Amino acid sequence: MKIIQKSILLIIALAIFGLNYFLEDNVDGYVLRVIINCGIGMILAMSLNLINGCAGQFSLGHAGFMGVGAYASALITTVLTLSPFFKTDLGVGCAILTGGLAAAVAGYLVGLPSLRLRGDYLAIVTLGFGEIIRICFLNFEQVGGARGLPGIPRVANFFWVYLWVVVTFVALLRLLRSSYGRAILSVRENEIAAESMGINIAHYKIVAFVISSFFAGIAGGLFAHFQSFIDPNSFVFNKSVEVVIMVVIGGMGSLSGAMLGGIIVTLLPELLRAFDNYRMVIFPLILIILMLVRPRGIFGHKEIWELFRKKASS
Amino acid sequence: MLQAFLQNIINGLAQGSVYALVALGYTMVYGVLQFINFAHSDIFMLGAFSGFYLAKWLTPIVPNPLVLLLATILGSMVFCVTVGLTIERIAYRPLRSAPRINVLITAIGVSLFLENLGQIIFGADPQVFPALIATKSILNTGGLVLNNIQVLVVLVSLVLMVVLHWIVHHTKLGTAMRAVSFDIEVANLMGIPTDTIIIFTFTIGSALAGAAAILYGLSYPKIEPLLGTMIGLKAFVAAVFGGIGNILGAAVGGIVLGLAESFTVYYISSSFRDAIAFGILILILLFKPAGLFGTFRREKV
Amino acid sequence: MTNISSDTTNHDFKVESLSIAFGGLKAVNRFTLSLQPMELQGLIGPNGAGKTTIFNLITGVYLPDSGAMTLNGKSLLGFKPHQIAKAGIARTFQNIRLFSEMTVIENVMVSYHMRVEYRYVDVLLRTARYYRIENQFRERACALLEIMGLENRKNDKAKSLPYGDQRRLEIARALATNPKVLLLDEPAAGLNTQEKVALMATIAEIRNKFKTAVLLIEHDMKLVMGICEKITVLDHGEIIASGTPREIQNNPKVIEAYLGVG
Repeated sequence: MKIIQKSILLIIALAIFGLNYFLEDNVDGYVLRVIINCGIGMILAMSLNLINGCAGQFSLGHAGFMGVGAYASALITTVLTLSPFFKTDLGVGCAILTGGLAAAVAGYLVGLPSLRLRGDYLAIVTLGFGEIIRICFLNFEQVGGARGLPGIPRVANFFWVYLWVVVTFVALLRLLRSSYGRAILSVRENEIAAESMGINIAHYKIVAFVISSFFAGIAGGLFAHFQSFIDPNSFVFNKSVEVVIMVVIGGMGSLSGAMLGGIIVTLLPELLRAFDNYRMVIFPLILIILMLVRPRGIFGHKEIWELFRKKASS
Repeated sequence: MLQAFLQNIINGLAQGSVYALVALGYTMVYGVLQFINFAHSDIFMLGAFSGFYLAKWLTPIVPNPLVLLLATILGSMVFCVTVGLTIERIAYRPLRSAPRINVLITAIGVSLFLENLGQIIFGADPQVFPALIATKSILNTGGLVLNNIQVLVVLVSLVLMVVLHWIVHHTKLGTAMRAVSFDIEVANLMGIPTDTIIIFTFTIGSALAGAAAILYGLSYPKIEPLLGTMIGLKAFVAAVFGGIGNILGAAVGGIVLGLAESFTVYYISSSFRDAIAFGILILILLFKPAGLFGTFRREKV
Repeated sequence: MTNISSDTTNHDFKVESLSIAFGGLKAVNRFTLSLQPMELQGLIGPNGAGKTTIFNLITGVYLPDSGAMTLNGKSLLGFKPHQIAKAGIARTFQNIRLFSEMTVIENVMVSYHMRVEYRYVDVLLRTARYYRIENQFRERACALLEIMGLENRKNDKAKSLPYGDQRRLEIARALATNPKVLLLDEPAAGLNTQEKVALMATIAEIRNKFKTAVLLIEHDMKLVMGICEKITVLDHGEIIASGTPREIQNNPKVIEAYLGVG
């Protein structure tokens, strides 16, 4: 069992590596960009799913964490000219990891109010934190202020992004299938019962925020080193909303659903490009209709493969 | 020193009254339905644009500036009420028994829809709101400036709030509204037509947003389709600050926020103007989560 | 485990003079109780007597205004609910509070979490230790579910269980915390007479199997008479009687509380 799992993971990693060269040679630049953006969207959606779907909290500030990761990693590779090492693939990888850690610290700080607040209140506080983070970038001239930060080494390609997609997926799935994951889920299900069964609910809310922000920070770092340019406008409130929509479409609590949501929300505006300006009107309409006709998202709490299993057995 | 201080109070009061009017819409809907009506900020934006077109159309017809102003305000209020009620009927009512998160997401969807629609219809560039009445300075001594627009804004807001207070506390509808916000299920059992009350709440909230939009347009004559976002968020902060669901709280919260912003811009930096609202929000929620005048309901075990 | 001393009043679990008021209303006034290891006691009283409030005080949901509470001589006052659970006091809820979207076995396994011996690293890398402990949890949970007669529903969602099974799952989940004191809040509520009798038998059995003291809240006096060693009767937040089932049955105050004062 264990060996099978490990070899599957290795094969997937190799496949991504191979696919990287195939795509770079055979697919046009626009399509590849969209594919990579889908990957970043998936990481964001899976990470937010931990807070909004699994821990039952509601964060509306995910773009802020993404921004922290993007700026922190770009700071290392671009602004602070520490060593040429940070221009190499490996160096950028380290920088992105640092960005993730910085976002995790931010997640800890934002997670603290979640101990006292719930529902709409928490949503609005996380929104406030996200905006404050963005306003700080705006006023921080060392990272370009409102003009943004250009010249970030363009290192994050298909391979790096999708490697992180797999890492995020495996890490979160393993977390959820463990005692820690059950503890997080129990907080969503019933806080009072959870604490009566010995679960320190405050602790696990924070844990959810920290882990989630870490991956959001990674997504931000990848985004920065893929676009090679970031500005505070990349991390506005609407970006947070976009990630929430990804999670909601897929089904709150479903990891594979979140991945699908990430793809749909990234692809849809591209597919609706023919409608030009109207796509940004159609998009929220789809969201409203989805809430009216399928309020639990496409998969609900279930994972995609569980749907098939259920059908097979019955 | 003193002049600057007083000037900040004047500016803060004028700005704060607009926040307060918008905050009332948030707080009343929250009081009755327990959800953040994210689309409220865009109703405000639509109010500003409806006023913009209405004023352009009316200016050649109506010579009297006072009549023109009143007509524009009323027209904007009527338009906002129409939009507000349509949203309630189409998007929110079918979700009455759905989980709160779904309603919240729907509200965000409606908000995005209106913003993006606004960008298509009105264009993304800012438009100049017509000066319905000429700006005249009433007071101008030693660096202290007070103009008729500022006085007008504060006065109109005050009148509207007094009327609202009277409606909520001295009419049958107002009493029913308070009952619904206390406990919607019990109110329903007592024979209060909750749907009617919800419609009534949206009507008042939207009408206030419409009036606020015109007052805003008079004081800051640049309007654009994304105008509602920041004002809406700040008005919501004001509502939370005062204790969400509490009408007096929203009014006080709006004024306090307006003052805080005005002082921040003067004494710290204008670039932190938008951050101060959220800073206040986070502090109040951490130290007095129920807000200034609110009460917190604990879950029964 | 306990410090055996000459002091014979040093029981395992002691509550002394616990009081709490909500806005001037004394919900619980000077509640005192002691529970010896493996003792089965009943807590009865009419609706609104403050029974559930006592559970909420004991489990740290509410902080008492005054009073003391000790387990094995160690004070539990001011502990948070999860710390109380860790100290060895588990409870069920009158209005069922299961983790409804989780499976039956997962509901039970949540209770093992406070003693989990693997770390995040073991989870991420799926080390041998992770597998060993997960399997151990699973086996223990299965055994427990078998005792509670829920073994064949272990992979169903908790919310899909019939009402009576949900009550049993609540007990199973509380037992999984390995408690020294088990607080059952009207476990028989909503069951039919036959189910009620069966449940009381299960409770008596549990006490012996899991070596835990049980404090049982019940609305229906007759039900607890048969299995409890001692019964405390509560009315308007105060103890009006306490003693063996026989003594309680004939206590005029109790009869008055239950039948009302004409």
